[in-house]
Amino acid sequence: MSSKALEIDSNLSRFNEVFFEECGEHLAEMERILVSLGEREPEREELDAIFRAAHSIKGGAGIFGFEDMTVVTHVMESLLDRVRNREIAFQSSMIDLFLQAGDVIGMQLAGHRDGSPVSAQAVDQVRGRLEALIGGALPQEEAPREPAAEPPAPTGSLRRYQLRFTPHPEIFKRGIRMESIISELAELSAPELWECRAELAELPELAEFDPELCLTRWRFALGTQASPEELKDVFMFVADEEELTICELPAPAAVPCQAAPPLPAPEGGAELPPRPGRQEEAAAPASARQGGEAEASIRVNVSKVDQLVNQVGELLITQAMLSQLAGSLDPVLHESLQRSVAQLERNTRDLQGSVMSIRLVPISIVFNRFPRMVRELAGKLGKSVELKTSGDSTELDKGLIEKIADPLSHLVRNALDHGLETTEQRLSRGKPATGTLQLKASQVGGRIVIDVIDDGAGLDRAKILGKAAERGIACSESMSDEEVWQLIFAPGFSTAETVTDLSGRGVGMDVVLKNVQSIGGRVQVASEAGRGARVTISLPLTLAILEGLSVAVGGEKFVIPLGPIVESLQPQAEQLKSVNGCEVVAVRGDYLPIVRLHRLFQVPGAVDAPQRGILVLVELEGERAALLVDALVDEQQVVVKSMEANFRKVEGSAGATILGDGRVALILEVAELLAMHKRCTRQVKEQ
Amino acid sequence: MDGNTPDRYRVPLRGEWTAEQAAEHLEFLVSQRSQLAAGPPLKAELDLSGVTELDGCGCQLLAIFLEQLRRSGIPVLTSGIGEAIMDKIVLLGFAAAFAGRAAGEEGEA
Repeated sequence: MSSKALEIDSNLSRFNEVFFEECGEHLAEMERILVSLGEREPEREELDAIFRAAHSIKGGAGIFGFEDMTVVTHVMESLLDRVRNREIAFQSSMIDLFLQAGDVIGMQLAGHRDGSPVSAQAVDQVRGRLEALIGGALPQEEAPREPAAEPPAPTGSLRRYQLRFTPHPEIFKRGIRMESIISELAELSAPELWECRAELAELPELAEFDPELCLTRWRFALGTQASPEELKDVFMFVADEEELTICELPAPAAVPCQAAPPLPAPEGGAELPPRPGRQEEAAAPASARQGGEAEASIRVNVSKVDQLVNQVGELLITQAMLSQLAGSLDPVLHESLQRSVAQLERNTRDLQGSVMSIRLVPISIVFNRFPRMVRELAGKLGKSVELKTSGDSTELDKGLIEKIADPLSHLVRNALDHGLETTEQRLSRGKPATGTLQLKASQVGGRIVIDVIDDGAGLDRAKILGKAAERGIACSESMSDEEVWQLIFAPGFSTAETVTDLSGRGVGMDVVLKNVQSIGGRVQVASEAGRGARVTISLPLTLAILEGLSVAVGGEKFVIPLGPIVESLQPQAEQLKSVNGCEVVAVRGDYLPIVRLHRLFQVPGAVDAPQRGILVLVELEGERAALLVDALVDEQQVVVKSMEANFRKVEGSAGATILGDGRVALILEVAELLAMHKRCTRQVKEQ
Repeated sequence: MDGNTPDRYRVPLRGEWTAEQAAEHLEFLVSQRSQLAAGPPLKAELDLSGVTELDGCGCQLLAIFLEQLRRSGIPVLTSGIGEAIMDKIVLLGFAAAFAGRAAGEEGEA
């Protein structure tokens, strides 16, 4: 393939990506509105918004050549149009049908984007059902007698516009079909008021001309009921702000506006007008009507942001090296250098904060999927459930957002399936007929806390203990409630009496816990019989930077994440004991196993006697241990580098970082350390 | 038979005139332009009867060709425009560029 062809492919794929992304957003918006309706009839604005979403998807799909995606959207658009014009009476079953249509479009989208399979049968079924509704439309006189929201407007009352479109010169190379765009625009106009004129902005020498370069600009005149926003939507995927000018003419007379004079009559052999500089466009660009919102954000590929994060990480390391070097110099002789280095450190931290904030996205991205899930599952289970969300704007690293979606889905399903009671059960217990499921997000210190709260029956202590005993999981009646609730995280644990297709397959909370822990999170459960349950997930703000304690072991340095650290101490000899052949330290009545890092990582020359070193006490999921290190070095933010990507997986580590002196330090994974220690102890005992 | 007469040079267009074939068609048009420039002043006739598909890019290419001929003082007519192709030209707003039908169609330019 030639480099030019490759370039075109890359351009196409870039623009396809934009379409995929925006199409996904339209589908999400459509779903959000539909789910918010419950069973009620949508307001005109809501119908318009759903229509616009379907219309935009159809238009974009047509322009980018995804013709199959225009099929369902077209029928859906027709039905919506007739519903909003009161030609067809709204039925609550339409909500489900539109949701299914959205699913089908989403499936087609995934097919184009990821190559995932598309069921032609599903497409046909939804299209058929939509068409049946259109075909079975009530005649106008049988339709509800409500006044039409917007009777067809006479031509004189149509809004008149002039548009000027000066496309990017590479529009043809991007595979964009101008005829589709123009056709879509023409459809919005009353035919008698439609006018389209193409003008060559320059006349190149044929022999030197790149034939795929667009030198044409278009002027349109039209009369329509559409708003400027709707007109702009037609150009959604193809026009940058400065490329499109929309000028609404004052009614009723079509007085030309300054930026877009009436379309001149063609003159044979007339001088071709020079291509005007874009600054000459006097009328505001179309997007200027959005209150500057469009200018306020740009789409950037995540890989570019990740690259930026990595580069800032490198900068942090370099800055740390400089700080260390400057710190070793005489402060009197090098005062100004040290001041500058301190300033550099502040600037670097600010930059790091700004860059990290780019990766943050609101948790509403995840929360938005639940209204529909709750609606459908509650319907299947015959339960009445109200979903409430709060803290939707709480921001979380994009990487974490992707990984928290599945565990949260599972928790929501669990709450619906096992937690919340049926309406009859609730009424018999004196509770409101409708159960409440709350999703709450908030930032607490350097962590994000997500609560899944239901006002259902709560966890059943007796049932959990019985099931644990049945499964051979260590438990006793004397366990505290908190300890009993922890049993539900045991692998394969489930108290569901019947296996449903929602949950209760015994694969659940243990997977939730594992997934949450894999992203540095923690899960806690609280429950009150008859009042409900609360599952709390606590996550770090980001995975790229970690707050850690650097410690020295022999000639090496390690970083222990601050999260699991409880305290550090230098033990007295009398605190050191041996229990069942294991070395432990007694701390306020508790005996904690001593984990010698130098042994696990085979570091020579390290302190071996605990009373000569430091014990860092850590706690994870109720398990405690004391890590033996030579000395505590510093508490610092470190940039996490993947060991797998740069070297190989090293057991006991969650990655590595580069310290200020340029040396690589392993970031310890406490859970793995504890598992390694147990294994080593067992092996020693067996020997 | 090429359809040329002593005072009229016919430029027969064939196939799909879309962005995918634009480079290939450009070569053809450049050669036709050279032929017209080399000979005595003639009328040119752009015969679109063999055009099966036309998009914005193809339409622009033909409009540039037509305009260049006109600027060189070569009167140019169009002929054989099928209904679907004509609809596309009109839709794309290039009707003025293609105006000037050959005799027997809709009058001469």
